[in-house]
Order: sequence, then structure tokens, then C-alpha cells
Amino acid sequence: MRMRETMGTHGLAIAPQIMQSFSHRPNLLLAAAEGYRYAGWGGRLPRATRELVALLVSRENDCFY
Amino acid sequence: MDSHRAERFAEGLATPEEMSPEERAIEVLVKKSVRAPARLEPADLVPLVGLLGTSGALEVVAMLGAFHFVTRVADLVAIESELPIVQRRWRWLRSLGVRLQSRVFRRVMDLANEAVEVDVRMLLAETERIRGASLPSGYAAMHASPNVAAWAYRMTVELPSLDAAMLGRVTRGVAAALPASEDESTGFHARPPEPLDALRARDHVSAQAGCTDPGRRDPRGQALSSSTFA
Repeated sequence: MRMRETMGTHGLAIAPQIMQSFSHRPNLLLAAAEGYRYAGWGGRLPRATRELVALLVSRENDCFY
Repeated sequence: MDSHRAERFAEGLATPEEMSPEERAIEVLVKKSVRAPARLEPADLVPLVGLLGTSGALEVVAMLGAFHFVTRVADLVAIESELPIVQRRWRWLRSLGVRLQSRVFRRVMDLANEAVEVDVRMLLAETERIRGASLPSGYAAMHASPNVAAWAYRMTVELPSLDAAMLGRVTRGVAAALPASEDESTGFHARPPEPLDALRARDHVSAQAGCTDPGRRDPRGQALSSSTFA
């Protein structure tokens, strides 16, 4: 419930599969969701710059998701 | 950033000339974090600090760390995209799917930054208490980025809930397996048949330290290499 609320504060009404993968350990799931909020939405770095970091890490890791 | 430009970055086609100094510095850092993470050092952040300030550089590091974490987990347990249209094999369809997905997310998600009001001094003291050791001096820079301090604390606070022996084994295994060169960043062991084995055997831990392993397989057993995306 709290994870859904955490993601929902940004208008995302779904629980992404990457977050669901932590559901066996609810505390870790919550930590991942809240930590992602801090890293992804907190601070002053422009959104495009954050997305560029994410995109480049995924590209370099050859990660499809 | 428009979708065409984002796609050039995604495909590795963006040239240094078309990148801003910030984008070039970020790409250099990301590449080293994947290809030679064992050699990462504070000096690697100097260009970013010069361009984005201490807080901006720390926020880049937080995103970098968060997405290394996400991509490793997604790869380990073979998580596919939420949208069926984002197919792995058909590049044109994948491109269309990603564009559609980004348009939807842009409409339904609030992408604006939010203020994080926390007591950084308290968070660092609590982080130090949980870790049971003095924090490296570099942690003091987090006073410039409360959100990064909150992120680090949120991750740390769950550590005691994990099995200490398993955590130590994984930490040592990953540290020992981090690539120190581009050559070492490829050719790791095959993915373990059972994802949880990655947490049990040192060889399998090593496999997950490098995500560019050419021996990786998708859920159907097909080879997963960079050519799959071309």
C-alpha cells in the first residue's frame, strides 16, 4: 500500500515490475521506492539530465528494461 | 531533450560535438562506471563538480547508483517492459513503443523536482551508527544535496534486516569481481539458472557484477548481446 502511495504521488498508478520484484521483502520494496523518489525527484538537477544518466547507464549495461 | 536526440544517445550515435559539456562529462563517468568501476576515484567527479556544482555532481552519482541497481536487478530476474509493444527484437517497433510510453508517462506523471527537507546532520549521524564505523570524509559533501543524503540513509537503514553473512559474501564477491578495464567488463560467467543462486555462490555473484556478460540469456534461452538491439 505505501509503495503504491509512494509511486502514486507522481501520478503513476501502477506498481512497476521492477518494484514488484521486491515484494517478498516489503521493507526493501519500500526502501527502493522511497530511495528512487529521493534520487529521481529530489534536488535541483533538471529532469532531462536525470533521464540522460538513467538512459546511459541502461545503454552501457545493455539492459533492455 | 527531444525523442530523436534521446534515441541517438540510446543507440550510442550521439557524437561529442553534438553533446553539451555536461552531457560529455556524464557519458564519460557512466562509461567508466560500467567498463572499469574498480578504478573509479574521486577525481572522476572533478569535471562534473566544475560544471554542475557539488550538489549537481552528487545528484548525478545518485541517479547513476540507482540505475545500476535497477538494471542489475532487472537483468538478474529477467524483467521485461510493462508495455507489450516495447519488443526486444524489432527495433522500429521498440522505438515506437518507447516514444508512446514516454508520451503517456509525460501526461500522467508529475516529473517536476520536489524539495527534500531533511536534517542532513542527523541522517549522516544515524547512517554512521547503523554502519558501525566512521563515514568517509566525502560524506560531508551531502550537506549540499539533502535528497542524496536521504537516499543513502534510506538504503542504509534496511541493511540490518538482511542476513549479515550473505551481505558480506555478496559485498566481497562483487568488490572482487568489479572490472578494472574494458576487457574485464565482458566475458563474465553465465547467468545462474536460478536467480537466487547469485546470492549463494561467489562465482554467480561475480557474474552479476558485470552486466555486459555476452553469455547472458533471455527467458527463452536466446543469447542476449548488444547485437540484439541493433
